[in-house]
Amino acid sequence: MLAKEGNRHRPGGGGLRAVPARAGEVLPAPDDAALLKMLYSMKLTRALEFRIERKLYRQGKIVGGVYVGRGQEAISVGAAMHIRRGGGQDVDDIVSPSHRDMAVFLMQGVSPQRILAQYMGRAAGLTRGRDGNMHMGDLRHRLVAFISHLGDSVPVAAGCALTFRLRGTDQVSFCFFGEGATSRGDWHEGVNFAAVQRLPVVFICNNNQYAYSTHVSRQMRVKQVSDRARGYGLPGESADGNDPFAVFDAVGRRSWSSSRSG
Amino acid sequence: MSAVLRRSRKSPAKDGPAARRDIPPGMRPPPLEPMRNPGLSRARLLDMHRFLRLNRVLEDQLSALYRQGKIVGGLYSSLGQESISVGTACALEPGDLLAPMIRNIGSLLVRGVPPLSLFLQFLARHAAPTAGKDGTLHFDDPGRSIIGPISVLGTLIPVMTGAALAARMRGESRVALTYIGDGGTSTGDFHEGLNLAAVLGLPLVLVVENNGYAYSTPVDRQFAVDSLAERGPAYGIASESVDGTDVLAVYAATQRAAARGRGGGGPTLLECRAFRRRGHAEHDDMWYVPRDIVAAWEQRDPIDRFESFLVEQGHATKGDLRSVEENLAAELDETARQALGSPYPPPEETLRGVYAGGD
Ligand SMILES: Cc1ncc(C[n+]2csc(CCOP(=O)(O)OP(=O)(O)O)c2C)c(N)n1
Ligand SMILES: Cc1ncc(C[n+]2csc(CCOP(=O)(O)OP(=O)(O)O)c2C)c(N)n1
Ligand SMILES: [Mg+2]
Ligand SMILES: [Mg+2]
Repeated sequence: MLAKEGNRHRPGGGGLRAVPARAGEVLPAPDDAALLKMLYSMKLTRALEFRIERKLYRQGKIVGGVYVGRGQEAISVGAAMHIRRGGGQDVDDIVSPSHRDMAVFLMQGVSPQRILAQYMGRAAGLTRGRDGNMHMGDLRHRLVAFISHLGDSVPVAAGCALTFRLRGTDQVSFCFFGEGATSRGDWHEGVNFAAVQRLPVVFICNNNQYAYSTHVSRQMRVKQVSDRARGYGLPGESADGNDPFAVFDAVGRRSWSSSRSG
Repeated sequence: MSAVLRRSRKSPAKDGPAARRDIPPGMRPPPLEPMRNPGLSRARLLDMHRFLRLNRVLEDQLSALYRQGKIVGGLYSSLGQESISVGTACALEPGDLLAPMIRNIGSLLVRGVPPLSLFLQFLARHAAPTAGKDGTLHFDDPGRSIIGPISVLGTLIPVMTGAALAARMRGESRVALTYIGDGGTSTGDFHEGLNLAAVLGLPLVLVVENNGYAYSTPVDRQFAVDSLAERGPAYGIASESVDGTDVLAVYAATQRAAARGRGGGGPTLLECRAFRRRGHAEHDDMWYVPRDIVAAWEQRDPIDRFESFLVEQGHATKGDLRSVEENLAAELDETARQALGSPYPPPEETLRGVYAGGD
């Protein structure tokens, strides 16, 4: 049932993945606990971002800029459900979130307190007061710090996946970015490298139609970002980014079985 | 990596890449199709033949000069790929903007750059286009609508996207054409330049010379697609893959691409498949290239193919074609002698052209 949902190809969401599909693979359907976790994560994200953007920022308590993922929580959450956690260094996946993926930080176990401290430039923040914005990560939570230069996290995520392959583990590297980032040369270099080396990395694009003020029609001539995948010899598909199940399915098809098994 | 290279070098037949059995399918010659005249007059056909031969004789002579230690910089052969330079350049209008890369001497010749200038350039003489400051092809020729190559691979693509944009803003019906190697397609600049040309619908013709290798990196280590034409749909633009050893197929495909660009149909990605039959440059013995692949492509020599076509179609006799070659060789011998007698730049030349506005 869920797989069917995920097969709807509609503009608005997007995902690129680096490992070809396997015939007959079976997806795990989220159980009740997982469903609740998805809803909780989306709600927590929205509440936290509301606090940061609509309260603290307006009160002048935020040191840096604020980018929110309002309306896009389903992308972060649907995808991040597949990130393997809690198994240790050689088991856990790694993730490179974009600046719209607050949910990923929360789901990786970063507490709202630490995130609030980060935005307020406090010592308890992820960068210990060095940044008052999204440029945060924590490898203890398997989070590669968000790189401000759009597209640059792609070769980094590919590099993480290369270490998994070299070590022979079944870990997966998850990489998030916006549609604007796909116009960057680094994006091209990283995706191509991952394709050539057949690395276990899943590329997830949140296509929210704008990169700052640039509409997607001025960013690319293709209808959906996943059309780019074929040019690298990668399978790609588009999912409705407002539908957490569609995202869950699309990402799951790649990461749950295929990417892990190479 | 370097340790691996050194070890393989000693016994290439046993454990080096030269002994590779898994030659990627994309590296073998495509199926042989008969050559077809896209409607060119006999005079035009013979013209193209002359440029192909000129290209080869010139490079042969440069190679001899290199071995005599008279060439100052590197020398990059286009042996077996002359058909790409000549076929594409012949298909353009004279006012179209053309930016060659380092293996496109043939494109320069078609545009009318005199062989003497090229000898002078490689010999780094004062009378050369860059006055002896560069020993390869890094020069512009605005009068011939030539934009000079940029050594940094891929960077010429955004430049030519910009040139096409400038032409369109001025209301000129000019197409911009440039070249990139299979290796160059992996650069970020390739992506940024082509994507922008696609979004803006610019008349850019991007010719990918897929010659199997980027230095010692084979194509299956460079991309995971069978043909680089598969990149076209990823940018939402037209693309095509042709046998690069068929000068007429290259010509026809370039014409289609240029017409598309002029008609507002946006850029075209044109893959021309050939093989780098010499080392990366003159110093490289390409020990890493399997010999049987080279042999297979030798059977596809673009000049041999075109000459057979011209004879079969009754456009020329074997004797005619042989005398073209002999005459060109004699002519270029003389040109080379002239260039060798030309002086090197005086020391004060080093300070000229360093700052904008200087002479
Ligand atoms: C290389 C680079 N260029 C420009 C910027 C400035 N910048 C930050 S976010 C942004 C828009 C990004 O758009 P998109 O990738 O679609 O992500 P979205 O914000 O829509 O999620 C820009 C232009 C940057 N950070 N890095
Ligand atoms: C960005 C960049 N990286 C590396 C080089 C060094 N380099 C010069 S030519 C070359 C190989 C190019 O291969 P390809 O693009 O396939 O062209 P080919 O030489 O086969 O015609 C390399 C690596 C360069 N000039 N620019
Ligand atoms: Mg966006
Ligand atoms: Mg090459």
